[in-house]
Amino acid sequence: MNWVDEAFGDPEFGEGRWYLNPKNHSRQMYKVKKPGEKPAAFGSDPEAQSGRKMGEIMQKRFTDPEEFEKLVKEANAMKEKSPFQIGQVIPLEEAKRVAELSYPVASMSCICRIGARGHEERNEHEYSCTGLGVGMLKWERWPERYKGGVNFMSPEETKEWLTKWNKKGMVHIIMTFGGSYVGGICNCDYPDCGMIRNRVDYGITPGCLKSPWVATVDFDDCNGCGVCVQRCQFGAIKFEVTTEKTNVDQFKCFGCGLCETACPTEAIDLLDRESLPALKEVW
Amino acid sequence: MSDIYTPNNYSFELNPEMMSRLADEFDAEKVATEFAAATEGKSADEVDAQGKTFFENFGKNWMSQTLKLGEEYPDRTYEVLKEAIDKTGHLKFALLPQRFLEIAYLSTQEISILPIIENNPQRLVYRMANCTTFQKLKEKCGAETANRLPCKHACLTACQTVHEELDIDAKIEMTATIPEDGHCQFAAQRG
Ligand code: SF4
Ligand code: SF4
Repeated sequence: MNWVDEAFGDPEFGEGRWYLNPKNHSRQMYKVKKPGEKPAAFGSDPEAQSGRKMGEIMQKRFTDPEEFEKLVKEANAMKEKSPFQIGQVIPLEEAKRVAELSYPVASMSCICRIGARGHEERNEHEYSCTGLGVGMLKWERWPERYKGGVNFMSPEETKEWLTKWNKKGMVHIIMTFGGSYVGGICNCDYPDCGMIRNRVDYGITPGCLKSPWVATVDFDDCNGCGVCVQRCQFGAIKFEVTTEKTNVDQFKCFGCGLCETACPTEAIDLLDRESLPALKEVW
Repeated sequence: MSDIYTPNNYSFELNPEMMSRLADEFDAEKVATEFAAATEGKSADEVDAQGKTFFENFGKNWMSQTLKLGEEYPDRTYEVLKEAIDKTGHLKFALLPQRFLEIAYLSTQEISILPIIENNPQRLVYRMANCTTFQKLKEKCGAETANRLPCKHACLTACQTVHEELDIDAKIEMTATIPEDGHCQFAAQRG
């Protein structure tokens, strides 16, 4: 069990599946402000706050490497009150279950791709991110973030949309917005996604925890086509020349299931991380 | 704060005038005083019977007026919700009743948020911890009467009424009570 599940999970909805606990998808629509209190704006936007904090860490990489190492350690020792957003990779089928728990769901442009590539997703056909929950009813408060607007989707439309991005080879990552509240599902790839990059390149874990699953290949069923090698965003699958089959490095695997959904012979299964003694604490 | 964060001068908050109208009309002190006068010297069974009628009536009026004023005083959050319902054909449950329940409680209770425990296509669950109505009943009628929770009929009826008026089929139940659990909790479950 990881610390997020310890804090926010409920065994009723599955060990390690804190994001399937309906409580983490529920929030009030209104807050009565004290006299003179301003509505939430940029400064209180958890996504922006977390991004700024991450920016501060990154600046230290070159100016003060020792401080950088210290800040990374601090970020990784995070607990509930952490200023960082929690992100966790989840496979397609669980992302679809999240789509049934979160109301409303709206697609929107990916902020990472604008930052990493200057690529702006301009309409609902291009949007690759979602915002979840009642906060999306107030998206107009942050016009710079939601340039071009948002597109509200029904649960069925959301599932189709997630499947579309999965086919394209994107990893699904759920994000929290303040505490345990699941506020988004992103469709991510390396190196565009800041969360994946921070984890894979710099060892900063909170934004990209591994899923509670781990991939395994059944060699009898594998035909050596190599599709899964191309799909893995984490470099966890290797083509073994001698056997002409593939193999998963389960310590590198993030349990996204992209290999599983593309394998033409259904040779890949996802195993429960908790069932593997060497991996159950590897998040 | 720069104007860029409040485009078109939208207000996403509940209208204060609407809230104070509801607060005046459904004041907890007033209702507890009336109930105390109506039940003075009555037996526990009589208080229970009278509590049911009295608070069911109160709950129905409270929610009917909330529905009326909630439409009279829209806010941008509500407008976007209606747009989202039109666009998706979904979201009516749980978000529409949730909005009116939040208005009803936020206007008449000393709370800044109504804790929403679940809101998804199957279930809406909310909680009241420091309930002013319960406190006032304790003051005016004594702890024994308050602990029999005659006021639960108001909450249950309000929750029932909002679903009926919005044409949503849902089973309403009380899943926790202040005397036993430290808070009251109500659940609306879709069939
Ligand atoms: S996609 Fe499936 S069949 Fe192809 S190499 Fe990978 S495991 Fe083997
Ligand atoms: S091996 Fe498969 S499940 Fe693991 S990270 Fe790579 S694509 Fe995802």
